[in-house]
Amino acid sequence: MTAGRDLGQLERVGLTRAELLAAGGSLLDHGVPYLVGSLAAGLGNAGSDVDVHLFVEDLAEPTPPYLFFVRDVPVDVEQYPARYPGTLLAAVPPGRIRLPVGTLATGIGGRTGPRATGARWMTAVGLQDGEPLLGQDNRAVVAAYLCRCALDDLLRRWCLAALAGSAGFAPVSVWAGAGRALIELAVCGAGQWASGGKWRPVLARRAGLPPGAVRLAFGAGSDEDLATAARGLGLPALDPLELVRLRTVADLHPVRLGAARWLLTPTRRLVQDGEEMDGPAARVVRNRRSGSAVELLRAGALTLEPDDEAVDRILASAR
Amino acid sequence: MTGGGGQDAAWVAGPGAAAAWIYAVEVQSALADVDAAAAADDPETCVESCTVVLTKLAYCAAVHSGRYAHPPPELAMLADLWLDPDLDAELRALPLPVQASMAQAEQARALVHHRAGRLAELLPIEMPVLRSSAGFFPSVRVAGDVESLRRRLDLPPLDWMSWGM
Repeated sequence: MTAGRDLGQLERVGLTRAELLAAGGSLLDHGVPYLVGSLAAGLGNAGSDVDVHLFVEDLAEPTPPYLFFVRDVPVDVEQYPARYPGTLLAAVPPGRIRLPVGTLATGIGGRTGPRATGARWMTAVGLQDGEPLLGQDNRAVVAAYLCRCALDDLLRRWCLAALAGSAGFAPVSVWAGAGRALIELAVCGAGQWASGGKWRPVLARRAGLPPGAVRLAFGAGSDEDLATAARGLGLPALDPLELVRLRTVADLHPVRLGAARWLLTPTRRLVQDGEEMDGPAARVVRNRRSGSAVELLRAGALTLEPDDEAVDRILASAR
Repeated sequence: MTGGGGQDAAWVAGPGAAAAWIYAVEVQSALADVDAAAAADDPETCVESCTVVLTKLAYCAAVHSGRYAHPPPELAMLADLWLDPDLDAELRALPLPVQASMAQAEQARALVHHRAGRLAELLPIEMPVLRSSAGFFPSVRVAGDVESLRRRLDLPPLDWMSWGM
């Protein structure tokens, strides 16, 4: 074990680097351990877990988390193949566009990078040497990718809310859920990294986001609220119904019950076998089929996918 | 018919067990987040954690009622939960997390603990808290007990991990 300064991030849970490495013992010896998660991001409190990612040569696949305790502090260790950070970087196309909300990746059709782990690696710091996992240039690449993923989430949730609204029933919660995706995008764009939605209010303040827009996002109850908050947070005008497509999921199985025709979903729900819904969400609204679309989304027979090229065009025109 | 005459074994070994698992893995850890934020004098994180608890309770209750024979994919789950008027009413009763006061946070915290307690009473299986030194191993044993019952009922094994949020 190398000697060196302690990790301040562990102070919140009352541990030292030496204690953690000693308690981990042989579990942490056969790879390179990094502190990730909320503590690494400078958040967390006395109740936080210590999250460790261990990078191991010749490991085929990530392992499920292994939990142990140092006194009463839970330590969660996940093992990753040493090549994984490189794999993530290779999955991110190099195009980037800088907007008031932040820098977003472009040209990103068919992205396959591991997103949740990517976010955790942004603040990862070595337990042995205290050095970051990703160098500055690579962090910029991953950051832009994560922001683009956050935009995708916002578009999906905003589209869901808009479809529900046009079907005549959109409770506040569906708008507030989209509002949270908007906050997530804005804090990513401002370079604040933490996994776990509960930190968003704190991160929004740390990022110095305009308080009025932040309040409006968390309390959004309508399309107008969301659009106003989005503008206030530096996004270009977006029409989620035009930018998001409905897609029928694979593995729907036709079922006949007498004269009725149904479809069996992968999660074992039966939905009415009706007309084709695939295509831009806006078309479903024009055809007054929003209600059916929402029901199929709830049943998992349909899913929502941003149109990457259309989104790229909007972002380019906003610069 | 009214209730009584025992409980349906397949329900206990299926939706009941899955709900108990979700309560232990998701709801209790979310409650711990609420409490930790309150202890750290962080009302904003406390209130937002309360939102998370209510959403997870709604999912747990839906599984408990047998709504999902199989874990739903994420977008479908969110759509289902957010479009539920009961959860909507509960979420609207919480204050906004931003600029929340400690008094508001404590009130929200009491509310979610109360709601969680009411759902806990309906669970057919007691699963010890997973995250404490004492509670880790007994939870694995309870899962084994459920699998024994499922085998007796000619049911395939439960894919426990897939029920998480």
